[in-house]
Amino acid sequence: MPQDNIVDASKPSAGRMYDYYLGGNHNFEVDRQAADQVLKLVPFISKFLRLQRWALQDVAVELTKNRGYDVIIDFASGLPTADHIHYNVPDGTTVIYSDIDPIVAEYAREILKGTKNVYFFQSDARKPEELLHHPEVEKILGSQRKVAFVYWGVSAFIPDAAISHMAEYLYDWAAPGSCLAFNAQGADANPDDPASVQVLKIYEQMGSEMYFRPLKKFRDLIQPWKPDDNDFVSLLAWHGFDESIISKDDMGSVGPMGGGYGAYLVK
Amino acid sequence: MGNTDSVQRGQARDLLIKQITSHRDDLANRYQQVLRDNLFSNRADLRPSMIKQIASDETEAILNFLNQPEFSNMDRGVQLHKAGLGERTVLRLGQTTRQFLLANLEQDHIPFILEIVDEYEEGVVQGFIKGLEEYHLGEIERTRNALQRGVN
Repeated sequence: MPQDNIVDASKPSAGRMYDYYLGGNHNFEVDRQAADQVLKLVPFISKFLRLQRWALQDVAVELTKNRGYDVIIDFASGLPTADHIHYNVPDGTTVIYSDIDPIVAEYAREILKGTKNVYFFQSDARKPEELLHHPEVEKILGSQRKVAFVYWGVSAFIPDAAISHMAEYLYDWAAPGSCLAFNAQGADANPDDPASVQVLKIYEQMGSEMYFRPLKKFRDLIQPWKPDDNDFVSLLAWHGFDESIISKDDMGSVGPMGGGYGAYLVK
Repeated sequence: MGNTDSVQRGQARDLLIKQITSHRDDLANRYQQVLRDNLFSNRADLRPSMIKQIASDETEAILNFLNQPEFSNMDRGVQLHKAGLGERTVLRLGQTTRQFLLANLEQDHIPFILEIVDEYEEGVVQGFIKGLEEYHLGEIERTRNALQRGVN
């Protein structure tokens, strides 16, 4: 999720626009105007973000109920609303959320008040060491290193070097058998399409630069993690849709695979 | 309501129970299709993998409403809101129920059937709105508390 201040209403915020695309209430007029501009250019964006968000809920179920992880560490979480990870995991699962925005962190703690084993910390997704070495996180985890990380809905806002750093750092920190649920956000979208060019410009002007990369590039950046046997799955296929839900114009910018993939990367 | 109406209403209720019970899967499939068609107009917390269960639960909810006087259709509306349904989807589910029943039951019973189905839908919609209001009030309260803590 994009990272900026949740209460600064003087300029559009990528995080609050994200909330608006998903039909949330945590956005202001300035965000809605900017988001409507983007939606005019690429109407599929609101569907694309839903595909991404739905997959996150499936990830929470898969990691805990099917793969048995009892610790989930999520980066750039945004607000832990009713569709987030802790709503979809068994009781007793430890969920550690994080976000760079201090107000999001405060609001999140308010939402989570009294929720057992669920924590929220202010931390930068580009520097996972900040979160993992936070004294409270160290206390919660103790010596446990076999965990599931979630890096979902944020990678299009992270530069190449920071994705590489994140992947390498988490790999070195984690025990064998750990997993990184990774969303290759915006993968195979076409940055040269005229609508994409304008969308990228809007975000750049807001100070939230976006990066559209081919899936192949993501594969390089997430080394040394390897996808499991399912490999990267397009978010369309993930939910049983095909390209018929994308208009011809939208396909020019997001590509036939809907603009994103998800994978379970394993150590 | 006169005695005759009361008897006819009772008969209509029995017919509804019979019709829904014997075509439970068909009705659930229709609900599933409505939910799938309206996926992108719901709240984001309703994901595709939940659709089958919601469709099945809705079929059971109508049957429970018909069978059990103590069943609260308002509570069902609250549940649908909690599950993430949007208002358009809730209205489409109601439309689907009416179409399903009208296509399969005799003309004589239609006024009573509509009365019963509308009674169910009314409660569901009221509950849905109640859920929505509670949700917004909770959001306002959480925002206020969070901002207060953030500012301090």
